Amino acid sequence: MKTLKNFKALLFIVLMLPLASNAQDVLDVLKSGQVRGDYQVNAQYYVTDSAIGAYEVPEKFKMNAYGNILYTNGNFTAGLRYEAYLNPLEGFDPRYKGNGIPYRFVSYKTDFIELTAGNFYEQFGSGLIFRSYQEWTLGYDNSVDGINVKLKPFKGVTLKGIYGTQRFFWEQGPGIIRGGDAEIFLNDIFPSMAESKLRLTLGGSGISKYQEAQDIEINTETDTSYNIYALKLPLNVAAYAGRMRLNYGGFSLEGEYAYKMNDPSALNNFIYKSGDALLINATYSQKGLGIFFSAKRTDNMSYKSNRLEQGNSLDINFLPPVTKMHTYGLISMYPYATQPNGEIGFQGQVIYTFPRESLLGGKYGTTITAHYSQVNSLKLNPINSETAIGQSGTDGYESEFFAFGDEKYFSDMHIEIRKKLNRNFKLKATYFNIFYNMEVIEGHTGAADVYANAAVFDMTYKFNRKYSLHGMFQGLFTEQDEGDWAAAMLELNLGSKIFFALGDEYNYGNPDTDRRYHYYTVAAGYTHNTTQISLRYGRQREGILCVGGVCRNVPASNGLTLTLTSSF
Amino acid sequence: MKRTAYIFIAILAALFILESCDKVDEPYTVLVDSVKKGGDENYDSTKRVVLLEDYTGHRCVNCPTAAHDAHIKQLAMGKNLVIIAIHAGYFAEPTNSLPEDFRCTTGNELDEYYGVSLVGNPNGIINRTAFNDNIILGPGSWNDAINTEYEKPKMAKIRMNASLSGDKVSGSVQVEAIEPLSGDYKLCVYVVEDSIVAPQDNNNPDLDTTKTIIPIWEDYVHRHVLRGSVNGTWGSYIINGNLAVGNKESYSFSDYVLDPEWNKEQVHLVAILYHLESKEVIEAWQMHLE
Repeated sequence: MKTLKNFKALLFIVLMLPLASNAQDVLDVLKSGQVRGDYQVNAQYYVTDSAIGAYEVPEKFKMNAYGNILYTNGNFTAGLRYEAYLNPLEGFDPRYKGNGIPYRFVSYKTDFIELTAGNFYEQFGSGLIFRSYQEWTLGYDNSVDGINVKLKPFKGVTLKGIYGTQRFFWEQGPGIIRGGDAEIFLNDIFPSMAESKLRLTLGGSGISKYQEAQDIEINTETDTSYNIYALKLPLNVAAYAGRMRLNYGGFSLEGEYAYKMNDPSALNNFIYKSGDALLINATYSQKGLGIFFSAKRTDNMSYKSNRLEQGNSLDINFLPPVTKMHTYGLISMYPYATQPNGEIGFQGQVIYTFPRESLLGGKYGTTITAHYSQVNSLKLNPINSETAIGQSGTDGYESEFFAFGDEKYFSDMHIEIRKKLNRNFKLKATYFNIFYNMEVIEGHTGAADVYANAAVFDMTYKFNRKYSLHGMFQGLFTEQDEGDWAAAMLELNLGSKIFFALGDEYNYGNPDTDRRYHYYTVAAGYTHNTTQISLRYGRQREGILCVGGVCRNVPASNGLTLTLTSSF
Repeated sequence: MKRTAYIFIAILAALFILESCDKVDEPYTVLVDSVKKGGDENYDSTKRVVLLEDYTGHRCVNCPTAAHDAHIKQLAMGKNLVIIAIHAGYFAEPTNSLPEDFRCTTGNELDEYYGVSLVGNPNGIINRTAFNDNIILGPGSWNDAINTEYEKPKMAKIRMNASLSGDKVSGSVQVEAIEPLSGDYKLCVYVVEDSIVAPQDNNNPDLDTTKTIIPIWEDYVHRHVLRGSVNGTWGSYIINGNLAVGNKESYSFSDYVLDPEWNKEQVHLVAILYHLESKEVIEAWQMHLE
């Protein structure tokens, strides 16, 4: 049973305590520690709603839940997380089905060293070659089970080392990863820079994965024969990165370059091309003005601890998006998903606040945000006249480093105005123009590119210090996909404890008049100290999630959802 | 001194990491098998006949590539590899541009039991046996899993005979133990139709460079499409308790009605012998009806 082997970890935690001559001493030690934790339950009762494609769910009731417990005593910390997917909510990978303790650790920390044994999350730099993290709402967890060591031998120097295997649902992935990172804050190293306005940090990291040999064959045909070739696989695949971060007053610049050795995998069609990535972020801020610019190029940088994994699991690294994630319902219908095999893009944003009492600022000031982001394909060329781009068992292709490919994947232009109109009323109005390459982003071959305009009016009216009404009105206008949408949501907050919400998304412009559905929602919630419980009843739209070469459907649903969170 | 020692160890560890990489030199591949086109089928009667269940759908853009690779593998292995294409789940649903419905009750029940389409398509199951702790396998793992099953000792031999009268099929299946068989075994007899020409979503233009085949391959040839089962999704009992080497058991069926829409010339019967408790397939066999 999954929990049985993990129970040994709990026993280990107890045995780590200093030996005591009697039980009372042990209890005294235990009592001097602190226990903290948090938990969350997401459960849904499913109602069949064949109109929107919400088909019968045999269990009728599904649940995802977790509970974290942390025990801290001086320099020592131990913890575990219990998870239960009984059964996983619709849209979550069914391989999560079950319950157990997939996360447990013990840790010892001083000013000089921090040592963790068990599961941990860690990151090198921006994560281009290594990042393990958990995202509950996505059902994503690539925690490493092994050893994590952090050293601070001198002021301004941080060294990290990791070694272990990654979580794969209720098992561990087949690959072993090991790596290290060093970061130096020069202002602490060189006394002459201690008081300088220029702050400079340099970092470098390396990581390697090992996976046993496998028989992977590619099947080809010529005019006269069918041929089967076995791939010569690298058992150890390494990646390296170097980074720099510079701050000077209100200006900051950071950049990181990563390089990955040959890594033939199912996700890149078993090509032997090396991979690389460049990420640059620049910001400037002063009172009333903020400017942000980011650029990214990634080429064949999917890096997993199982060369055959094509799903959303076992990623060793993280390729940060260079686009903005929106939270408004209609705008988030077309989210950009980073293309692991290659992309080039940039984003820029300017935020300016017109001061109070100025002509455009008015009594309370006015903030305007302008944003533009775009992502394109890489410019790819065949390696020779006889090899197709991306052909298995070859170097795949060549790509010009700074060139934008001809295919646009995504663009997002939006302008937002935020203004407090009077003491009680705040308004945020945003206009969006979005381009969405559905064929590439969702893997939906043949789907038309989506050109959409959208507007959101987000307003809050405060009746008094306790009660407020929040309203959101959205419109999305497109001639592609499912056509135009309108959405409205009203949320009444009664102090900080209670809320009621009512909303609807209406696909009034669907070309199929029989599919012009309403996706209505009613919700209510109550908060008491650190505990919040909310209930939501309504419909959820269907979507498709594609990762690598495998797509899965996130089904439509209708029903009652319970969310419970608490911490202690 | 202590801190210096830690730094020295850290530098050593970094050097080890820097060296932990394998640079593969060209050529990156080794030829392991080659089958002439138009030649006799490869078949080794002393080896297992392996079953690949390819979970697919005509809306699945990556499925033609997977099916193509499996087809080549089958040409190399001949009768030692039986492929069934199970159309089930979201990507098998008909649409305006893909009006055919290749789903069937048996395929839907198998898909619901194994949960394949919830994980995604294309995915496959080889001999209903876990490979590296996974029963649902991406196409990149199929050859390895097939080879592994192929190298296992042959446990049983299956032979079939069948006759067609109008739209009705009657026949019998005989199972002979090559190794002692202990436990309960069931036998499934599935009906498969090959070479159905119908549209298929596709994103690989290299599968046929003589015409445009993306985003929709209008005249795609759907192979090994599971159409139904003679004796139910999970089959009929054929061995109870044990079967000694050389001993045989038989299963007979009569008057299974073929759908008149099916092309009888392309209908095959597939027999699958599996261990009841583990559900592992120990032998398969395929027979062309006409």
